[in-house]
Amino acid sequence: MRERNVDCVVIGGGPAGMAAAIELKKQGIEDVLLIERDVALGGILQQCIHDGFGVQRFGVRLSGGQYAQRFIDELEAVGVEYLLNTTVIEMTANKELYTISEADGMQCLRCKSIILAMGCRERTRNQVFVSGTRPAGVLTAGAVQRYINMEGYLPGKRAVILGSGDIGLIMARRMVFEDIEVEGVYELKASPGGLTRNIVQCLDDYQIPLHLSTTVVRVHGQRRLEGVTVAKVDENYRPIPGTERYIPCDLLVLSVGLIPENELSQQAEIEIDRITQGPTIDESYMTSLPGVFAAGNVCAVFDLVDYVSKTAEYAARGAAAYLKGQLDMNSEYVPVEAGDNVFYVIPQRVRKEAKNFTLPLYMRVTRPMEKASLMVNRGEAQLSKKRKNFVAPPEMLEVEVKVQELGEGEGYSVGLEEL
Amino acid sequence: MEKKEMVCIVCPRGCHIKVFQDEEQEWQVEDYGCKRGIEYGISEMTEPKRMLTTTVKVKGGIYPRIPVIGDKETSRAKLKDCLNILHHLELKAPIEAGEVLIANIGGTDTNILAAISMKERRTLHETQNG
Repeated sequence: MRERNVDCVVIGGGPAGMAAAIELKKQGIEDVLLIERDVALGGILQQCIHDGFGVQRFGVRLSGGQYAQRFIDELEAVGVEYLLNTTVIEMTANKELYTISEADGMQCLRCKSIILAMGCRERTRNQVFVSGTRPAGVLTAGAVQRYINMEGYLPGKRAVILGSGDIGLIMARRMVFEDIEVEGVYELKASPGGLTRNIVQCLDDYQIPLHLSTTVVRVHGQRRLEGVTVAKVDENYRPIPGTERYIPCDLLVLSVGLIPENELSQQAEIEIDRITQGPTIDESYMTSLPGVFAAGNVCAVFDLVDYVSKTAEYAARGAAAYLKGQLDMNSEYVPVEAGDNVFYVIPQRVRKEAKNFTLPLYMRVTRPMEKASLMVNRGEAQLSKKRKNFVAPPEMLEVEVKVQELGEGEGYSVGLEEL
Repeated sequence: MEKKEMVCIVCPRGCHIKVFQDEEQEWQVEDYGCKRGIEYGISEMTEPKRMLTTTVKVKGGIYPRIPVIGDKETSRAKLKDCLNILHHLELKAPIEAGEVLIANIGGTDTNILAAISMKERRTLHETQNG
């Protein structure tokens, strides 16, 4: 088995991993190695052929591929070394990574630091409890997206979509473009999960019905999916007897949510936050394992790739500071608490003695508000107060707080007050 | 004329706007939150436009499809014709991102661009030998 020492290994060549690797180089870290399991860089952006990416970062609406291409070009220009077709199969608490590939066989990388950029994965049928048989033709929206957009397969002729998240809506239009009949979109909740823009442009434009408070209760078919039974649900999401309807179809597309991908983090016994389902991170985006940092959807699922790239740059700056010995590894932590109307916030903690730093906070609110005031405090002292318009749970909020003075109080808190 | 109700999708605010033609056949928009809502409402009634994105068959690339995108939005009514043209197109790798694959597709004034660069597929042996 080959062995190699590396200053910083970035796991994953999607938007988070590429942005992290580029930023490491810019911070003067020369010995950087990026590991990607696919045959090309870009991660999930490769299959996101629709536009709407990069509005925040570049001020233009790019397709997923175009957004990725800008980073691929920059990564090549700054000379980041990367391995394709290479999978990390194990991460140890000593920061050893075991990788495997056809070209190099098994390798052990001994890392001074690691940036986790594995992204997220989709919830599957097992996680939403659809009963019935287990035929072919029940796929997650992302799998359908990869089949159609990258590999050139049509996974069915007549589709039902469960879940009204943005990926499901986008795939509804995409399937229509490829002459797959889309019978309808079914959403358990009483309101749609995706953006209005996608409801209008992906469903209304093609007269695809959206059925709210309705779910798939049964899957039919032995070898191949033959149909599904849908039923209306009550306010506790329980199917209402007598409302069942059978729909013949050969494809059930599941768009029922995303979860941060942290199998490797868990192997290395990195602390995982129960709410975000990502590692608990500090203001330098370092996890509970010293020298291991987390970027993008590994931390929490973002709705904008622009934020994913940004968090990756924070993580890279954290890793660079760590490698240069500039990161205080002895300080205790104080928590960052999710206050009024905040469901969760990352980072979850900050070095108690930290001063003169930027604290990049990302949060989800608990309910929609037309106008709100977003406040960040340390103890009694207010560090930041910003007005935000039209906040809602599906849209992650971002606020950067410059912390100059060494603050007092046992922790930070973030809350929104409706105006 | 009946007032057509729609949700403006220019920004996340999602104003419920009403669009109609007055006695002079001029387009009018009501209940908009900002000027962009007027523009959106009128264009949705006169000539709704959408960004065209799809994939095209490619030979010899690392993937069998390449994503493509218009250089501007295209009339929604013409999307299907454009998709048909692209459906019959077959490209050969390598392709550079931003390359114009079809200029003025279907007479719409939209140029179809390669969204990404598509490298040539190489065998493991070729890859290892540079």
